[in-house]
Amino acid sequence: MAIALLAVLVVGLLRSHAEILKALHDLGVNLADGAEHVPARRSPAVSRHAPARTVEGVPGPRHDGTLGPAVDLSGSLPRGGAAHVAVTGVEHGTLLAFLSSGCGTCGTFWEALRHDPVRLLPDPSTRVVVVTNGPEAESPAAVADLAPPELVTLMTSAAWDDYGVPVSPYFVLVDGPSGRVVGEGAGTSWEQVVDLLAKSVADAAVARTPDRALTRMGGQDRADRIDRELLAAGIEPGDPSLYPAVQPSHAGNEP
Amino acid sequence: MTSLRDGGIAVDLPAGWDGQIRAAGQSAPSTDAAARAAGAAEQAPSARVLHAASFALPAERGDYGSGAVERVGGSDVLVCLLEHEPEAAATALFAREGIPRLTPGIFSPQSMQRAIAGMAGSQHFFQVEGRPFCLYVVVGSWHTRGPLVRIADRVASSIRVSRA
Repeated sequence: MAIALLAVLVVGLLRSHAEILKALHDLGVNLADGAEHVPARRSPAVSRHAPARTVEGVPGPRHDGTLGPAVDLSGSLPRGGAAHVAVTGVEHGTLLAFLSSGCGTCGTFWEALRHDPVRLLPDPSTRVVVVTNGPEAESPAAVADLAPPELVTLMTSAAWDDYGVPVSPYFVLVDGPSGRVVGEGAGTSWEQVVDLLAKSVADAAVARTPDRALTRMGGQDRADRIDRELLAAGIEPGDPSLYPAVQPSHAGNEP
Repeated sequence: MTSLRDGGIAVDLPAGWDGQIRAAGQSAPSTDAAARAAGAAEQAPSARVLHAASFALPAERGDYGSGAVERVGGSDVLVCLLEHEPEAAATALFAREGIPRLTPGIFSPQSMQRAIAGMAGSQHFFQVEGRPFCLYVVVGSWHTRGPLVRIADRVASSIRVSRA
């Protein structure tokens, strides 16, 4: 139940955030530091493989897909070799960080992910996996230099296609037990991504206790509470202050 | 079931399993102590290491699975296949041909590279297609090793090796 609520909230938050970024982008506003103004455009191009360079505009959300089932990842390792990463049918969630070696905003994430990124996540059991395009589109040596030593970094263009990643950086949160994508979107800093996740967890906590949060007092309960507060203030039943003299109305009938 | 292959080695991974095949000796120094302590032989440049696990494999691991073994839960399995230098195939240690079958009786807490309470391990030396290997398997529970060993045997039996 909690996972489902979290999923809904994550979806909402990430989509909302991505839509704001897209709207700003369409208006020609670039949030990247030092980025130049870019002309507004109605329909940002969506690349299948080649990641968009964020210096040309803030990543927008994909607009041609919906959240759905996740798929496991298979690809190559930056220093050679092959790997398979299971994200479905596992007990933990997985945050897939789709990065490229050449985009400006990605540099922020490559660096942030080197410093115990999981520590900041609201759910410390979440696994973070970095995903770049395959060796046909990325330099393995460049990726190897950037790869955070404590995180698995996988090179696979197929994963970019499977998840419909429109730009980089891009993040996809997968719920392991259900095997479904529960959130996705873009961000300009790791703190921003973490903040979105933290808010979703906090919202989920509130959502888990709706009865308590939204309970309204009945009439007698309210009267009892008022009596207690009045007593605490030294006002007992029958106190004259409870029965102020009736003030004449401006519209009253003066003799 | 997903097939993973690299360097003339292939394995079938059950659903929910992680797997990696990479060059031997890529382990971080801090996590390779167990391999050195175990007297791991020098690997040839082309020697491969296969790790398959029923849990999320950490990025930093020793060839013998140090760094991953510590994360083995009570219902988990870790399969490590380490290739040794080609000359080793001519030695008595690697004389056995073929990947051994795994049975509960050959698992023991004493077979762990580094003893961890509750776990059990099994280690075997053999060669396939003239390539010498060590198969090191860890199961998360000595007491309930039966079903875990069956899973490990299924994975180990799926390993295919072609001549280098």
